[in-house]
Amino acid sequence: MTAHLLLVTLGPVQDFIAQARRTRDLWYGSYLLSELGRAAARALVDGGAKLVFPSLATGDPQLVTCLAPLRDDNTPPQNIANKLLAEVPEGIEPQQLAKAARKAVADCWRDQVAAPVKRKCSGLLAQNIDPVWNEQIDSFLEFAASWLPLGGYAATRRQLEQAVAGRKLLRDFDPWTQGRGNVPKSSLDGARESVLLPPRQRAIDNAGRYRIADGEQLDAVGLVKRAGGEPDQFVPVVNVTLASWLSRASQVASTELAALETACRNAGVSRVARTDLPCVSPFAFDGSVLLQSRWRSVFDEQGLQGDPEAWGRRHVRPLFRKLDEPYPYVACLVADGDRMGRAIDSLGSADAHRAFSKALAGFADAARKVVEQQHRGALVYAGGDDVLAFVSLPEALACSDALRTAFESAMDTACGSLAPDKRPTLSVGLGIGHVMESMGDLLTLGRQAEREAKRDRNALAVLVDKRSGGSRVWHAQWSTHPVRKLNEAAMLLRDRIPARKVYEIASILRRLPKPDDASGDGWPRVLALDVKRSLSRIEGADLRPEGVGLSLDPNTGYAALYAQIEAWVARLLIARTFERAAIRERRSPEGAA
Amino acid sequence: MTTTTTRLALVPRDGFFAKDGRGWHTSASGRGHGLDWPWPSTVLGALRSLWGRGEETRSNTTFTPDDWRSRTQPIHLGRTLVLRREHGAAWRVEDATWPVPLDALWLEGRQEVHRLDPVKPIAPTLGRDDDEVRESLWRPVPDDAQKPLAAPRWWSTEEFVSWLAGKSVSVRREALTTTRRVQVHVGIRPEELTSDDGVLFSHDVVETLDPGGEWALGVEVALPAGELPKVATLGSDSRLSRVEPLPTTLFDPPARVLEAFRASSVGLRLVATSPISFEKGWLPDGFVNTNGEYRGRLAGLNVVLRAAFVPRPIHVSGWDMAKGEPKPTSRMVPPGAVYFFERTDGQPFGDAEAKALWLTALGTRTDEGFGRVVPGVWRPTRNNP
Repeated sequence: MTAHLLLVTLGPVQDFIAQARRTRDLWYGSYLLSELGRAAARALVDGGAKLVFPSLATGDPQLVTCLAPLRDDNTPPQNIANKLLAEVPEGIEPQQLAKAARKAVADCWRDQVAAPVKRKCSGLLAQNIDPVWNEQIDSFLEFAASWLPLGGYAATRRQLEQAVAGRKLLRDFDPWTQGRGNVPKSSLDGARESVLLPPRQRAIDNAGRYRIADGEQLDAVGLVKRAGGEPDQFVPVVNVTLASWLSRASQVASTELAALETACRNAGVSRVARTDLPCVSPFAFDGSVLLQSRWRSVFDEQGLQGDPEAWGRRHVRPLFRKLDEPYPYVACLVADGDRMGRAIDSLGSADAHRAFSKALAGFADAARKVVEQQHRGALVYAGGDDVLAFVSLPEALACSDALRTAFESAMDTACGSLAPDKRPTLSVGLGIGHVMESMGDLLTLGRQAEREAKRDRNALAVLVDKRSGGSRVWHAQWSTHPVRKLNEAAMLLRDRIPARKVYEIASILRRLPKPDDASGDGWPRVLALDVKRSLSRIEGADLRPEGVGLSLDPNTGYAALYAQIEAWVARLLIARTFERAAIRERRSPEGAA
Repeated sequence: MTTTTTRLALVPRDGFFAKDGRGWHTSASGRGHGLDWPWPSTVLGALRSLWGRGEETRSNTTFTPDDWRSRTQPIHLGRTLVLRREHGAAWRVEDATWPVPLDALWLEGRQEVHRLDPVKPIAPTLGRDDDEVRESLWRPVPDDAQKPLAAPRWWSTEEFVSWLAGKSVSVRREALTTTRRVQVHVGIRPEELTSDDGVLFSHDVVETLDPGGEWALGVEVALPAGELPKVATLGSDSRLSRVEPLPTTLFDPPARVLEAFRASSVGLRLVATSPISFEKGWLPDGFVNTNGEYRGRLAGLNVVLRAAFVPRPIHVSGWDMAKGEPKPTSRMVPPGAVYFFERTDGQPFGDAEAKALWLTALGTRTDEGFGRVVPGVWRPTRNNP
């Protein structure tokens, strides 16, 4: 029998990860897919195959199961992507190897991941739930594999990609046969039935430990995501949101912060165990207590005693005499390589592809350092060319830029033979939403922003979704220095131009005709004069258009002028979010609330 | 109780919110997530409410939950359409709008939509379980390594009919789409009487009115006698919809599709236009493994299933208003799925079959409006893998 190339893919990925209400749902969903990929990789290697992607050889420690966020040596496990490529030597039947990988993944999911959760959550589960549980667990995984005799490497790999892509156009499924009927559906996706008891019959300790709210319903897969890890190993997104603020607070209000920590300890507020992360180290308790609007909910959800308002006034308010209250918005960062397929197509051998895989794994390591160590964020996933993370707003732009630089460096190593303009680039989306939105909704914002960045590729896009309604998006290619432009715009808003003036200029644009509808020659002059007049009315500022980055020359034509002002407005309104998130110290305690 | 088939358009005046199976506890503050178009069962619920309210008014009584169940039981939903027209215009055949089928692919830099045609597999595959017949179904071989672009949700009748007739379709500059927004409800801090950012709750709203026109739901429904109110309520927060009569012609098969079949079509592609509930999930009812192929009957003919392009299932549940409890969940084939068939006798499909299959219902729960499909021509390519 000849040697073969074997391609294996696992799913579901995007939807499964996005079905998340809490941080632990999102993190564990992502982690779980990586562990299932690891099980498949292990089965392929054990069966005699040589992995190409991921590039892990027999005996590599990254093939060992890791059921915690960190390995014994305190390093996080390498993320394994959901697509695996392997060389199958002569004498090994590729179909049998694919079946072995499928069985290994299914066994890992059912026995190592789901079964322990079912045991420890028995106090939450409805009566006679086994048939429903088994059906939901057993129908969850998607698997597709294809293999061909290994001729020319590049051509064979491409044929396999086509075969699997064609196969995945049929997502075959069975109907539900074990439903309970008129019971609520999962709060995460609404697809599967809840496996939980009615709220009042649930074991209180289990419900509290896994933060299952009374109105919340979880199916078997959702419960595995929620209860699959130890609760305090996850960093609540609110702590990431406040990471920069807390870091500053630890410097300028250390006494007040220490007092708050003591109060949290005494009251029994949930702890966060990952004090090795810079986003947690200044304050190792659930950061929700720093948001006034969450005081009551924190006490209810965590079963704390006492009056939440009085507790907050006594222990949290003192911090607000030193720093303005934190701005409760967070950035979901989604990054993805551009034109990766073209680069992989140019690899002529399995060894070249392995080297490429290693360089990508190196980028994933670098991404973790950039997000977690350099910018106080929390990394959900970094594997291949994909990055998913949460970052506080004061760090988000710099973090995006640093990731872009790290990716360029990795591609210099991986694709040294390609001309620089042919190497893959990184598009980064920052979806900014309120900290109280579900993790799934925040992730959706991040992905929308990433899609915007992908319009031009090699770009940054920022999407701001305000809780009070409405969203805005702005994107620019890295070559135009978008981070510098947004920072400059934020400074402009802080020092020279009030935000309402930007809205006023936006209103001028709305009142004038769109360039396609404008007839006559006078419109450029009208537009330029109106904007100049608006700027000149800023009290005491005496602003000229050039001073705020506008060049209002009517001779450039109406369409160009309109587009320039429109882009300026969009940039400033996005920058306003970053400006509002800037951390401000209070000079005078009397001025505080 | 005798019923009469009536054709109506429900024209939302303030968008709609058709909540999906998730409850309100999807975020810390309460967030309801909505569908981008209501399930047929939701539309049927709206029609039952419409007729029932008219009946309550006529009889000057208030129905009990049991009355609602029994008296509206004969109301069945037939064919449904997604409609969009210019403001102020009467309804025309061209106003029907269709889900974009899964065999249509958008690729960067192309002026025309790429058509995915299945051929015999180029390489062996393995799926989630062992089913050799399923693995031997035909598949497309994408001729371009680039990732496809996101497909639009809807096509106009002109575009859809061209596709079904085997003609090319140009890529539009702007996609036909509804606008979705999040409606936020404000909470007030009682001690300060100011808005409390922490206790807002919100839900999706799909807007159906825009400067270019308005969207509506076209239905064919079996109703008992009685005059209908002019205004219906639709979806999770009972948003108002105007009720308008609809011409029969909107539901007729387009002449271009029939002509294309008249010119002979060796193969048949069936496109789902509403969710379909099959007893075996993705596999059409009545199709069984016969000598290594899935064979069954369609429009009175023995056929073989050559290929199936089916996305992940959609999960259809809902809320039983009369019983006050959630309905069970069904996994269904989504609109836009495409099935490819050939006749076992090797003969072509004709316009008679096309006419019979136009907006016909397959599968189960068809009296609730599920299971509608339309036919298109297909010229199978015989490759030599």
